[in-house]
Amino acid sequence: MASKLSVADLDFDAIKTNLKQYLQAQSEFSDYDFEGAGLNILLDILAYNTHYNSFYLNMIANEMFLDSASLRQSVVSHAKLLGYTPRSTTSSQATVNLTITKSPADTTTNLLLPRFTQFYSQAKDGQSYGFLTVDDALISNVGFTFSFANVSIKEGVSASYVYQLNTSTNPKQVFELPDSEIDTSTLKVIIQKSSTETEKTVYTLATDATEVNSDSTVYYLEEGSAGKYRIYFGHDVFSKGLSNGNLVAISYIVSSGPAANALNKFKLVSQILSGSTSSVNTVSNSSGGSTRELIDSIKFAAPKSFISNNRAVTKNDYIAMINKKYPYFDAINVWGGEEESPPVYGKYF
Amino acid sequence: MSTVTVREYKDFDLNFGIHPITKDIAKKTGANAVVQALRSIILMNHYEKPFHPEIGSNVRKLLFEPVDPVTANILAAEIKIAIANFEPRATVENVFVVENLNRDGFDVTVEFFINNTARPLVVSFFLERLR
Repeated sequence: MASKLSVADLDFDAIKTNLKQYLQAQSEFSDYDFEGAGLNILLDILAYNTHYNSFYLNMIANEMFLDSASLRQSVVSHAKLLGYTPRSTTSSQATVNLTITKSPADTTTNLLLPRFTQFYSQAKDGQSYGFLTVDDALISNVGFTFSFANVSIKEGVSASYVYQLNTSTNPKQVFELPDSEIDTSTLKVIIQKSSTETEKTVYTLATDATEVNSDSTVYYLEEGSAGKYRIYFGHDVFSKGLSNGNLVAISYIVSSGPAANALNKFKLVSQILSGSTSSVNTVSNSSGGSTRELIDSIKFAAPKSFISNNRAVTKNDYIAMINKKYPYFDAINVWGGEEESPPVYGKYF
Repeated sequence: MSTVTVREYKDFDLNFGIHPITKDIAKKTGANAVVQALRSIILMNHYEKPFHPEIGSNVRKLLFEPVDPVTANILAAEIKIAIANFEPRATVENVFVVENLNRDGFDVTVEFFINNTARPLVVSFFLERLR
């Protein structure tokens, strides 16, 4: 006859059996093993409650470690401790040559191709995709034509937001971006002193904490708990912070990921010069679009990224860095020059 | 000389009555405990017991069917099956279910034996839907 309650089981039936065995030691109530008895119903409640708590604790314990976590926000949080920001959705990228021919009466000599100039692609599976330029480009005319060579265009929809910092409501200076499918490589953060002082400073992404100081104009990026990205600043300690009333202008591309790969025909949505005609020649088809990094990939890459610490020394360092930079590669093979015949020491392939 | 240990059935009262002297929760013992368990089994829906959807009967659902002899017969069969499956202490002799049109429900009488006893027991109750 068991007089001690076993507490090692998690399963409902095993917990209930343990409770029944425990009750065998007393004679006050005896009907615990008949399904209709009141005592049995009470055991159901106790066993269910114990099972519920056990399951909950088991899940909490799982989420506490990178290896066993199953929720994305837990995995991302563990990766954060290793200094690893999971890869965002990546826009498919194409390269085109754009030629603008102005009308003979037009006296324009310099033409700006602004960031987020819109192109559209041919339809794929019944859907056409929008592509955007990522940077400004300025060129002069040659005769009646303006030739923009090797223009990189990325698939997606542009989004721009301007926030005014209020240090009393946002003392941590954290700004959560409203979209989740952002290609973070297209993020551009510009700080304006205030709505009256128009001096602007472009802040760049901080990638290495050892290379910034209190005057560095950098922002930090992390994935938030709801899968949305947050940017924050260095509070004049790690890097330059913001002041009350600063305007934070954030722009980026929201991407469709791999759906827009393998497109090769593009057209300008609207003419950037009135009365002109344009032609677009594709230099390279769209490629490289991928979804945001999956949980398994984060679990694999975060420790390796931590080991390599942005240095490529061993074979695994190269694999981690290539994997981070080119997420759409299916497989990567790296070997040392010493394995070549004849050996090429000091190089990796 | 051999001795036989007879297990006494002891359960607590599902009405949570108070014992007049000890002020402890009231108990149901012997046949009363079995009768209380029978009522629980009959009124228990499938999926009501955690992780054991097979335990229970279909009686509650049948109470929403027309109050007529056909439903009464099905109810009687359902009660017999439920007791036979889930109350090993009782052996059902007869189940009588009679429709009561005036009260919009069924009069149920269950005749059964508690195992290892010779005296038959009769339990009567009225089944009606609550909504």
